[in-house]
Amino acid sequence: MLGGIYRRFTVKTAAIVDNAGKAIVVPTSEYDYKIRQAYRASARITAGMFGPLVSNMSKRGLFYAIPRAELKSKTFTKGFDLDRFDGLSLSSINRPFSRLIVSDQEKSSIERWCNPFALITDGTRNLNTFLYQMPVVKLSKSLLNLFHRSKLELSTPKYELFGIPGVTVFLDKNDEADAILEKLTGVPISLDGDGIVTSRQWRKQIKVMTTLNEELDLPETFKLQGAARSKGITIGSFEANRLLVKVADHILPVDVVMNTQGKRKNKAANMTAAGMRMRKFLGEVVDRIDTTNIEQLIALKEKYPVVRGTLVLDGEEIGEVVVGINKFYLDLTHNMTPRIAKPHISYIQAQQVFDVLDYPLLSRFEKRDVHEDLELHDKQLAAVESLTNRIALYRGEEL
Amino acid sequence: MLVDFDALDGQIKSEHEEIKIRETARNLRGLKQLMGPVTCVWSDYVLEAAKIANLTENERKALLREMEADIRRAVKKDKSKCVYGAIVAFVALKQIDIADFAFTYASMLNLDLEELENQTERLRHAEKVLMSFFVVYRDRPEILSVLKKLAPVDQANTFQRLARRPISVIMESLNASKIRFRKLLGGDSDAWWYL
Repeated sequence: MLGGIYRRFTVKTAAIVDNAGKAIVVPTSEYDYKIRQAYRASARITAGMFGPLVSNMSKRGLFYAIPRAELKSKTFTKGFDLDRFDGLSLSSINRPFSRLIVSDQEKSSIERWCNPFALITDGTRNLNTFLYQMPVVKLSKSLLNLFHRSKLELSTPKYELFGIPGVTVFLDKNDEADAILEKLTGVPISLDGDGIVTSRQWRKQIKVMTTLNEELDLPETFKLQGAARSKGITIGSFEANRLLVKVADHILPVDVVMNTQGKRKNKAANMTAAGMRMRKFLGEVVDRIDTTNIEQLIALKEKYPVVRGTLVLDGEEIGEVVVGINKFYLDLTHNMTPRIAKPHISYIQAQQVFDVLDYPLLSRFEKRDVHEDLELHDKQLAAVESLTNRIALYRGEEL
Repeated sequence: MLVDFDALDGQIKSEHEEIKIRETARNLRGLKQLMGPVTCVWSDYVLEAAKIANLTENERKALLREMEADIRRAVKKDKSKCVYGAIVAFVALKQIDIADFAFTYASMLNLDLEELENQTERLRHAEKVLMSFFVVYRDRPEILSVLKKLAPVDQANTFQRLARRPISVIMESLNASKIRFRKLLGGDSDAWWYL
């Protein structure tokens, strides 16, 4: 690969300052900051497919990045009211109000364009940084066809924002689902950790484009998000012809298996919307969605209940599931090589390490089976051992 | 059963009733705003005063527990529970960014913030912090009785930025904290570890 996956786009900046007890947004330039380098880092956004869209919106004064740099002066008297902006949809969830987008609704137009049910979705569940992290992708003809035949119609703009479509099966997080995944993938994996399982054929239909127009295959492990932050890492793959789903009179190969999102308040964004796309794909007439009309959104949930289908694994019917055509965004910014930055108790590598070192803390927790593929490299083991020694030294204990 | 349809349908039907986007945005913004000032009033003033005060081990534990609980409330996404330190930081340290929260919490405690500001106007920083704590904890006698035993001390910068320091420096600093906590709780006991 010679080209990069992401490019840098310059955007306008602003600062949120206090003016007589009221927060106002003041557009800024690099001369307003004490350290210009810090300003420049924030004013340039690394983005993929939707970078030009964000850059264009910023040129029109609809999108601002908030640099972390310190201002020379905080005595601004004129600015926009902070309530005119949506500070959550496109900011990092860990740094709310770091990116502002002008919005007359509680969630911005881009968020509603991506997730038509945004106004009845939890405030913390947004597109967030996936807007920038989505690389430029080239889809196969059949996937493009699937998107265009199933895309939801909106009042404005005419259709929902592009995303990678996939026939998705939603399962509850339970032992029965885990047993199916184990049978399907041959690996003891679980939907508990919000992982996502995809078919190999679906992955092959998605090519990532570099800045030099090279076509790359998707890596084995990557981050995937449905609507409203229903995100997960791909934890396994299967042959598409092994897992099918019967919906009405149709039998479709399953592209993606994910969980039903537990108690998260993003179910309409995922399951109702995916169900509506499935209905449209199967020839049913589906209502046009006014993304600003909350009453209509609530009524749509009643009108279009989740689509049920029968899951078929290796020719055997195994139960009723929620099915739909979900829309996905990719994130290839993460380094997926195994490492332990913070040994969390439920990480399988941490369990292995603690087993080897006979770390007493773990005796209180149930031990799970460990798959051979997940065994740690000797170097990593040595690093963790040294870390554990330090902890022991610090506590004044002996290992 | 692969999917509990009854539960799922119920959740989909009712999930919009609990969604308050503006409030969520305000809370998330507050998450960052409250964290610093609230930690500051507790660690830089109260903790320092507690070190030299004549308190029993149980009183010290009660104070540390309340300090931790209040800081935890400040960093939670759900901002509905009263953060006492937020009121103190607003009044004593003039943290106007958190005015919204301070006024909301003051009304929860039935407290007149302007009056408190006027009363503490001429005091020194450390005295302001302690006085404000006395007022906000007036309905919590178990904490108030401990706070009343404290004397105002100069501010100490308890938490220094360690992110870019070498690991040896961080270890030294942790060891120093350990010793400080031991002194704070009295004796050489490891009680601090089990707080």
